[in-house]
Amino acid sequence: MNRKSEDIRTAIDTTLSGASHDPALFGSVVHASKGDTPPVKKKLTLSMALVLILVLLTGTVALAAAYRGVSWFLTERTIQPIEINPDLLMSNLTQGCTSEWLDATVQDAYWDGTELSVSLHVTPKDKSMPFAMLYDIGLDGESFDTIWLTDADFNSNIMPVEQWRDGKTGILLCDPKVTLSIAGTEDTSWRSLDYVHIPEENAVVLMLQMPVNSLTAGGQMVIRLDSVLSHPGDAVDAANRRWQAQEPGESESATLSVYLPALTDPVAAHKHDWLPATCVSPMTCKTCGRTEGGLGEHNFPPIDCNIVRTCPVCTYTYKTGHIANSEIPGACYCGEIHP
Amino acid sequence: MNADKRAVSPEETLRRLMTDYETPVRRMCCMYLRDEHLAADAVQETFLRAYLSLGDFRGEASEKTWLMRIAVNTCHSMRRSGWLRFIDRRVDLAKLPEPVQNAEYGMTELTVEIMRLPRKLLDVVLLHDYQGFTVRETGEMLGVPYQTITSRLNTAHKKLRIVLTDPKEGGAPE
Repeated sequence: MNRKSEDIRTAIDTTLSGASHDPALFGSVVHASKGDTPPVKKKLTLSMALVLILVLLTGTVALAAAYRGVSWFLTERTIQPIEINPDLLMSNLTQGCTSEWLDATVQDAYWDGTELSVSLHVTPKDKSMPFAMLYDIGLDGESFDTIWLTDADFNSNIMPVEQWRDGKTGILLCDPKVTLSIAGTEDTSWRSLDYVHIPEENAVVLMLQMPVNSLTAGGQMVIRLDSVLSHPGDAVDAANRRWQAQEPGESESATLSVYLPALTDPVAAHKHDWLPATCVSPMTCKTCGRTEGGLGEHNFPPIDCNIVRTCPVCTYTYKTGHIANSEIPGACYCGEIHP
Repeated sequence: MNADKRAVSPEETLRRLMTDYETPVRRMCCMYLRDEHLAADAVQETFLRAYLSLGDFRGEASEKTWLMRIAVNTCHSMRRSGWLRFIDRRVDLAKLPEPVQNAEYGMTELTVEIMRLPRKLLDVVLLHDYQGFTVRETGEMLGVPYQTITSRLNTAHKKLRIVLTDPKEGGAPE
């Protein structure tokens, strides 16, 4: 190892000298592995098979619906899930567009008070055509040279441009761009933080996000999908993120306008800050006063046979001071014998 | 994987892998993810994948190569998910494990600069310079030609203000 490598190794080992052995790691790995144990095979009766088919059908529909939804990205997909406030979830938006090459649909959107998340479903109209989203997968932000293939396994196949272009014809590439207009103000600071591939549909679902301070006026999100029908030999201008098709005219630009509903109800337009329920009031939001659920329990003090128990919240009194001890007839929990 | 005639249980193999490689894997994950807790998740995920894949490993590569490849892919997957895709070059030392010994002058600064390298340069620095893989081994692990690895190493070292002086590095691959 040369001196430069030694310097690098020493620097990392010294700076991260606190990152070493975790005695709990072995146990946690073995425990986690138990979840991958294959199920024990059981004999399947006809009724069980019918129930299983029904459950699978229901589950598949539910999974497909949730799979493409923004709430799936924000709760199950991420390693830091958030709690979804149903009042801020704009479901069933289902606003789409169709072009010569693509079908694109916005499934739903979620606004958490500061950031708007939208799920966008894109698929080529010709389901047999190799289809890729044009993304710079690397975090260096300096080159535009990697492609996420849709003819690959779930979220596992990312290739350099040169590798997938070789030998393929008629590949459809799509580059989404988003502009959000709210109350006359335009914003293009969107990010695509996550995406999934659905192999059976030859589709891509992206989660787009951008900061939004208010939705009391509603808004319009315009998503432009620039697509290129690419062939081997097409030029890539990595510096300017451009794909030069071999034959002129082999491109299209589709526009999808999503109308976001106005969240004019101030009750819906914020995250609730809940006060716990008491014996006189249900769970209540400190900000807007909205309530949920029923009344809570009385806040009785600990048992003291010399004092009649009174709830300090509502002054309800509970029994007399002494409480009979069921194990000793005539005796109280405090030990006194009462007539 | 084990030359002993006695059959080795998967748990024994896992324990041995952890004994031999946990520390370098953990430090490499810290370099990728810049967060102690995320790195801990990545380390667990790495050894879990290795544990579940022990039966598929047929010794085509060395154990270290196989395990580090899993670790690199795990870190790449975590960096692609959620908020980590947002390009953020800040390094917060408070999110890293506190060192058990005081670092020499410049060592922490060098480590931070390494963390801030673009992902492709960070890959080659961590695999070649830190883990000690050859240029050819690094190229095979990352799926790129060794010439590309050499080029990226040169670029990385220039960014780190380190000049390659070992004539072997600029010439034929090892």
